[in-house]
Amino acid sequence: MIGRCLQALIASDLPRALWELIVVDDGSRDGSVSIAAGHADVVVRLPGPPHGPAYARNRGAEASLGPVIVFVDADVCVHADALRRIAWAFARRPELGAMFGSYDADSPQLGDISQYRNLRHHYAFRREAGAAETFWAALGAVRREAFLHAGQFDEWRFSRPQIEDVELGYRLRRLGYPIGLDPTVQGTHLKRWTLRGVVRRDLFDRSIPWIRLRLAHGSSGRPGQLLFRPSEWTDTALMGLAFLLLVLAALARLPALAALAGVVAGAVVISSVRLFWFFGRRRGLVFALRMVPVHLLYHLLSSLAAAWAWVLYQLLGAPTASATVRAQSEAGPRRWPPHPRRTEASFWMEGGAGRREG
Amino acid sequence: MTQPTPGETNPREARDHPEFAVVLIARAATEELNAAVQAATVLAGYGVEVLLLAPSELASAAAAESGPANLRWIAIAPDTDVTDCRAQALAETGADVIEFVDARLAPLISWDEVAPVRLGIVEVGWGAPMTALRASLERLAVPEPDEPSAGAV
Repeated sequence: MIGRCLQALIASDLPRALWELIVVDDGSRDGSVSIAAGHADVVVRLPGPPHGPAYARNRGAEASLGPVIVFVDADVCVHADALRRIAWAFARRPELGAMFGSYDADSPQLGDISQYRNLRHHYAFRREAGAAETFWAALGAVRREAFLHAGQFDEWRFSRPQIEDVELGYRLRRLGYPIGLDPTVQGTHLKRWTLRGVVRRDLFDRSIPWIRLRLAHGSSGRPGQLLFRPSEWTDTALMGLAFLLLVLAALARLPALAALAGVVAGAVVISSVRLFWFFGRRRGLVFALRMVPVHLLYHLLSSLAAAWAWVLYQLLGAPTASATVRAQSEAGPRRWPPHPRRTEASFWMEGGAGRREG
Repeated sequence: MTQPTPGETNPREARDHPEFAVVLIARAATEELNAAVQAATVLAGYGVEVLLLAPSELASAAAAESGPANLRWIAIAPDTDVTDCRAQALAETGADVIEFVDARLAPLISWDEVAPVRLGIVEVGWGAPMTALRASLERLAVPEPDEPSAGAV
């Protein structure tokens, strides 16, 4: 997979003299680093077990030379014009702090779950084109000045793929840097998702921490919030209601409540009719119909995530680093690779969540 | 630049910056070797290891001459492709940051600017020249894409 993604980058139509390709090897054991070396200008090898994308991206950024840093995940094949579009976006708007693109609507060889996820992402990101309130690092670029000013990715709190990019985006916006979402900057996502993987990723690593962050700091009220579009929240709340009605129907043995749950779920389907229309245009009617239960499950999981995030926020406040990371960081000897560093500008450091942190 | 050996206590614990190695790949011409020696001389001042991969007849001839102490010659078969060359170099060095450069381009690189950044001694500052980006795109006649349209799905 890494080879395909690197070949896609090499095939970029942005002249090679204008960019350097840095690959960070975060403890891989499968020969990826040798493949990477065949394409990269620079390889950064991080010894030991994987440190997570926040840490790895920070080390790669530190070794880079350019005024704009583009982050690309190892399972994303960028389109040939993606880097050129990014370069021109920053050339047109030097004040831009960051920008990001989206997955394309391809990868039909993957299973239904993967296609649902990628198509839904594509649909949502195209709909939100323009000014954004967050950041996405699977295919995203940041101006070096803004990146350093914001304190880089929060490697202290995010030791695995979570919302380290979202949190960076919030910090950039708080510092006044504009962020743009340009859905014409595209990449093909090669990851093959399973239902279990989606539940783990979307529920525990994405939705719950994102909602906790949102609870801690509230909403700017501006568009470009992606996950927090009002219609999305409405559908999520409706699916939560449908689930509660279904549970009550089972407990009280009231078929009428079950029927009502069906009506509420039907309302979610009707509310999402444009999404299903989009699915139908891209993959056909049968695929669109197959995606109805997947979509309802997605909103059900989102409602559970919201409830669980609220409980966690009330009980624990902000997430924090593990005891080992804290101890190593506090000891603070200068060494390479560095211990995960705490950024004082972290979004978690202020507001209600920060006060709860023990 | 020393390599960790089996049984040695891990020297990585004592480092305060990454080890940096530059891999130069030369194909045929003697000028390429001269370019590599020139780059290695500059990089020696930073303690950077330089690996020069060259066809065996060139490498053996050049190795007989004196060169910078940080320069290591590695013989490769003439028909070895770049990917294999690089993988071989990667296995030969224990450095954390490895840069691959065509030997012909080595003299064109300002190693005095590059090496301190790769070594983590100097951080590229906040004032990186954004204005130069547009000038570079225009100088190289890079086609400007249309402005993205908002919202249409």
